[in-house]
Amino acid sequence: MAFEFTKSATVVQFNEKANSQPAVTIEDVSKWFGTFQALHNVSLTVAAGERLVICGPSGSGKSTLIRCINQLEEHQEGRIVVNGTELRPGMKGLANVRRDAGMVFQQFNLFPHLSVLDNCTLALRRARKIPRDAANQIAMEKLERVRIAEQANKHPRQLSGGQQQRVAIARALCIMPKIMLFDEPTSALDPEMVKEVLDVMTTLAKDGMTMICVTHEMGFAREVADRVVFMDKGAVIEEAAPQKFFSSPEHVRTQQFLKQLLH
Amino acid sequence: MSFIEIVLGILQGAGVTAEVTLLGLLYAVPFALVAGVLQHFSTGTSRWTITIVIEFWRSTSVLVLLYAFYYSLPAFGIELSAVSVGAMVLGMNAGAYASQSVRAALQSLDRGQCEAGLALGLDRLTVLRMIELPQALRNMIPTFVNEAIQLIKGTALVSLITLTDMTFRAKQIAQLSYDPVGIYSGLLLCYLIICYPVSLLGRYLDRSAGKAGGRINGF
Amino acid sequence: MDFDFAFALKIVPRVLEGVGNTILVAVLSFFGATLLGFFWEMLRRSHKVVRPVTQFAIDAIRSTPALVQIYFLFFVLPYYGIVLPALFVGVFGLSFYYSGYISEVFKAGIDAIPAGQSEAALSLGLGRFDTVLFVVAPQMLRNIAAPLGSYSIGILKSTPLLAVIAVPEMLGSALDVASDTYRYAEPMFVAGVLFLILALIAALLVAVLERRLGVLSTSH
Ligand SMILES: Nc1ncnc2c1ncn2[C@@H]1O[C@H](COP(=O)(O)OP(=O)(O)O)[C@@H](O)[C@H]1O
Ligand SMILES: [Mg+2]
Repeated sequence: MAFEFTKSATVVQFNEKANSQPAVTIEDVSKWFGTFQALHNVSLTVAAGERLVICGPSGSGKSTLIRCINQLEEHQEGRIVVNGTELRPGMKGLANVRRDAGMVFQQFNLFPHLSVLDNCTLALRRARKIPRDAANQIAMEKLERVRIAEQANKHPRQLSGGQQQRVAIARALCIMPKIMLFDEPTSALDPEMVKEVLDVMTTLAKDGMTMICVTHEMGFAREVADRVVFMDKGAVIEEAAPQKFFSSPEHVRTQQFLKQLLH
Repeated sequence: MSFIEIVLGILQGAGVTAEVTLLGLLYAVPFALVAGVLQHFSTGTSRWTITIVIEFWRSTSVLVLLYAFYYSLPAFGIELSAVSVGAMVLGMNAGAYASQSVRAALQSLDRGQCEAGLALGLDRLTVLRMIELPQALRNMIPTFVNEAIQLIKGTALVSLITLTDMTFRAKQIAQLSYDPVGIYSGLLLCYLIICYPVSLLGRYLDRSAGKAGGRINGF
Repeated sequence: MDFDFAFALKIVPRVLEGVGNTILVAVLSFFGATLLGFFWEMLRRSHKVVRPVTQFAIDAIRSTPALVQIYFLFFVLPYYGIVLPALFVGVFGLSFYYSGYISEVFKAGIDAIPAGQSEAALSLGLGRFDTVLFVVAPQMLRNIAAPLGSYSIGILKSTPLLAVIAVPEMLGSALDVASDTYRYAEPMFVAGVLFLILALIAALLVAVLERRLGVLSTSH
């Protein structure tokens, strides 16, 4: 009983701490590729446990923004704070901060020379220095969570696109991230495989994971998102709860975009 | 001797270098096209035959082949001038390599191209000539350019079978005056001036064709 | 002068005396060229200013004949008081010449790996070094195995060049026989046949090795 008590006490403490600071704070961020400005003074706050969906036309800077949160792209102006740590270009300990955020890419980016299991354990073993057996155990747990544990010893190319993307999600979960970043995770999939990936993402959301998700899957956004953000030409144009966003968008460009999406 | 004099002396051999290169191209280009096309289309014994011919020219060391042909053929009653031997060996070697890019380029063409041509009532040879080869040419050209460089550089070897090319001139000058730095830098410079622009062209074509042209042999 | 087959057969052992050096020189040059080629490629990727200079150096190496590069080393080094055994000079010359080509092999092998691979590794919190070691390098190795194999045969076929600076390899032995006997036809013919056989054996070996490596890298 005493044990139970301590355990729940820490959970409460953790939640309080998590609620007291936003998971991600983006303030006035601008980003240039050469002379081309890809992000214009973007500001956005994501609370711990919140699910944010970002949409917008192709080339509007969605990927750039989400990649800045992981510093795969460096921003030139403004502040990005992830779990209390401000990200600066060329900062020390970047790898540690990156481990707070799991990233899922449009093209899966699984490592073709490693088995599914080794894809999942690589970061555990090399970055976290967890012994192989323990790492395998963690990886199998996550693979079960995305319902693909039986494929653990296969190589990525032996799997379908949907299966590969679920492995990619499991791989990102293995580093025990506090936030999950998704960059159009279903855009490269055949239509019949989209659902299996969205189902996994929905379960993840129900379990309370903080998620920032670039996607055009409007059904998913309606069901899962706490907030939807619309971007155009490198700027945030509109943000609203999904209900409001889809039924009565304020901005003309948002209306046009949603109209095109429905056709 | 000043550096300028050395370079001018070396360049007296440029004519022979050019002659062997151009004659070599006369062997290389037709051999590459014919062998590549034959290897692509033939089957059974004829395919074996053409493959063996190509592999022979690819598999031997050029310098050894040069010596073997220059010194051994006369003993079999075949008298060839040093220029002929040089052009033939260097040209056939480059051509054999280039033939593989001809074959690869033909193989990578969409089958639909040939079928569309046949469906229009063209005969097979016309389809090859008017539809397939022109498209394949785009993919072959980077390799041809890179092989041309190999051929030019390869001509340095003919100095070893008595031809008075640039390398031979440099060695002659070396016997007149002891200035290895000047003479061999000058010689490197002469080849660089000729080949560097072609190398850049090859690099540009490689890039625009979206693949790196690797070459297996070297002189 | 007629071709004397009996004589040709008789001199085979003498020509073969050089085969050990031929193989030695080829193997050493292959390792030298691979190391130096890798070095060029790292240099080319290192810095904005270094890149064009390295690029020019690589193109210059590829734009001049191996024979001339070998002459240069052989005659110029002693001028500066550096006297090395001919075999070293030859190995260095071949390594240098082929490093220009092998740097391109490394370049293509690295370029062929999608940017997403290292991005995925970094996003998992792997450091730069681990990313290169565990994600980029294994995939690069698979990409470069085949072209490196081809260049190893190319190097073997270029070793006769070293005869011109009196390295006692196989063509050198054949030329020795020729100057001893005043007959060129047979020794040169024998050298031609022996090099052909050697190159074919090497090609076979490389093919077997490649298959082994292919099996290894897919069942890892
Ligand atoms: N590495 C890059 N170099 C130059 N321009 C880039 C780069 N990455 C993205 N861009 C440009 O930035 C803009 C936003 O791109 P991106 O964030 O990928 O858009 P989205 O993900 O919304 O489709 C586009 O115009 C794109 O061309
Ligand atoms: Mg995108």
